[in-house]
Amino acid sequence: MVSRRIGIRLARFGCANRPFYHIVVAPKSRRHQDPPFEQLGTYDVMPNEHKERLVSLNLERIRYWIGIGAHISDPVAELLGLAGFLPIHPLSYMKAWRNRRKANAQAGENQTLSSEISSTREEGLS
Amino acid sequence: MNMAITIRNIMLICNRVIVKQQTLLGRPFMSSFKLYENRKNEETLEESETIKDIDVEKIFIQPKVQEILKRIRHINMDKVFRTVTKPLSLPRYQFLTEEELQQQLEEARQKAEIKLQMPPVLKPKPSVTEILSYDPELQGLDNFKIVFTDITYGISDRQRLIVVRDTDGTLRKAKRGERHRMNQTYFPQNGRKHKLPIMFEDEHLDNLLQREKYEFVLDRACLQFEPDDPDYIKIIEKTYQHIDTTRSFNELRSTRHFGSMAFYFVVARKMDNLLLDMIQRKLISDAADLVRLYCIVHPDSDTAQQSVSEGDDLGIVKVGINKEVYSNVRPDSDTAQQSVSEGDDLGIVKIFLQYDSRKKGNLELALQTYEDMQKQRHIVEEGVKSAHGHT
Repeated sequence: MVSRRIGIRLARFGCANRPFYHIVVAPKSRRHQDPPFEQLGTYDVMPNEHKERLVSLNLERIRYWIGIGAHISDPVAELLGLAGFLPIHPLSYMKAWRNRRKANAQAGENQTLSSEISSTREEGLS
Repeated sequence: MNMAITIRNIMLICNRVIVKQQTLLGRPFMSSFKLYENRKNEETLEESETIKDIDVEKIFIQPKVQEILKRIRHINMDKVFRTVTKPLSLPRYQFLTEEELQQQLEEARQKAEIKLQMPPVLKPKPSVTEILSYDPELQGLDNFKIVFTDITYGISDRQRLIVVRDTDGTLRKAKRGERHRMNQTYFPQNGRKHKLPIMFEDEHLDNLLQREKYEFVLDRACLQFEPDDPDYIKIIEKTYQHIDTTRSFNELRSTRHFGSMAFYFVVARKMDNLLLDMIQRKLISDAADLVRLYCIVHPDSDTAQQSVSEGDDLGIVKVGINKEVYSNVRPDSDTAQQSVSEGDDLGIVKIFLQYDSRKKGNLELALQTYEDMQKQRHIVEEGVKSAHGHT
């Protein structure tokens, strides 16, 4: 078994204000400019005109590297979870839950705000 | 020494033919899916009324059907290897012996066969949404869909696994449009466009059809769409119908679309104009083949019943002694029409006229003209023979 120092993870390509990631397998000690062992896919974070983020995965090679014992970084594990390849990552659940809570809090705030406004208006009218 | 010179610069455009297997791969990849439900939302689809009750897919790939379609398509070498607009290149001249020339011609024939491979005829398949997993806990994670494409090497576009995680936590297989876009993004095909070319929109398509750019439309449609795409079938049927109204069947003769077109007319029982065109061009064996095809596609029709009872074997035996399919002559020239079994051919066409024809008058008139001309020709030939002393 190869040591856990090999990892499947995102490598940032693209340019300023336009992130684009390669999913690569590389040693953890890799310097930024070093070439990876292999590229396993891409992740385009910026949504396209159809409101989609695009991910490509070479599942055959990902399976191979997992079999070798490569470590999977959290962002990649999240993507693989969403793709149905791995079980959904706990981080995804946490993020979703936090977002929902935030949205609910926002909605509640808005509601109270609007009710306050309406009540003050009524008071003013009366 | 017997020398010959070929001055033919054979240019091959390898139009990609989309003949791919249509099986979904059963891979262990999906093993961890929670299969909550396997709901299939079939889009309502107006299935083209002609192909509703006939299993065109099976009939089209039958060897004898293919044989007939190939036979009536003709291979006119001049048209197959006609000049196409391409960047200029110098022609290549070569000195060849007779033997080498024959070899070259044989190679050209094989290339022609590849070039003229027919686009497959398939039933329109609606875009089906297959839901793999529903995880409502993921609601709120993202405001955008995520599309995952498996780019594993060596998987065909039709088999490739493409899944979408919707914003409400549903994991489903990609729809037709999404598949098309992803395939074109990661595995672009030369000439296929990301968005639907404007020429396939109704008004522009009508314009093109009015200018009789049939082959252009069909080639482009063949490249742009999958053969079971309802849009593709709609466009090619519209083109075929326009060809039927303008009767410019000869535009497609000796191209890869002729077989599919003839098959469409036979299935739709609209082959009378095509038959008339064949008879007027003295292609009686083609006309007979068309009727034989009709008998195969509609075995319950009166023509089929009648021809079986009269002992016509639907052309299965005649395939073996096929004459001049590769003849370099123009199909309407005199040599192409000499048929081994012209009597049989006329017979089966007449049976069709009697039972299933919709334009009986016109067809009978054309057939009569043809027979008269044959008689005249025979008389002239006899006269020439006797004049040359052949008694």
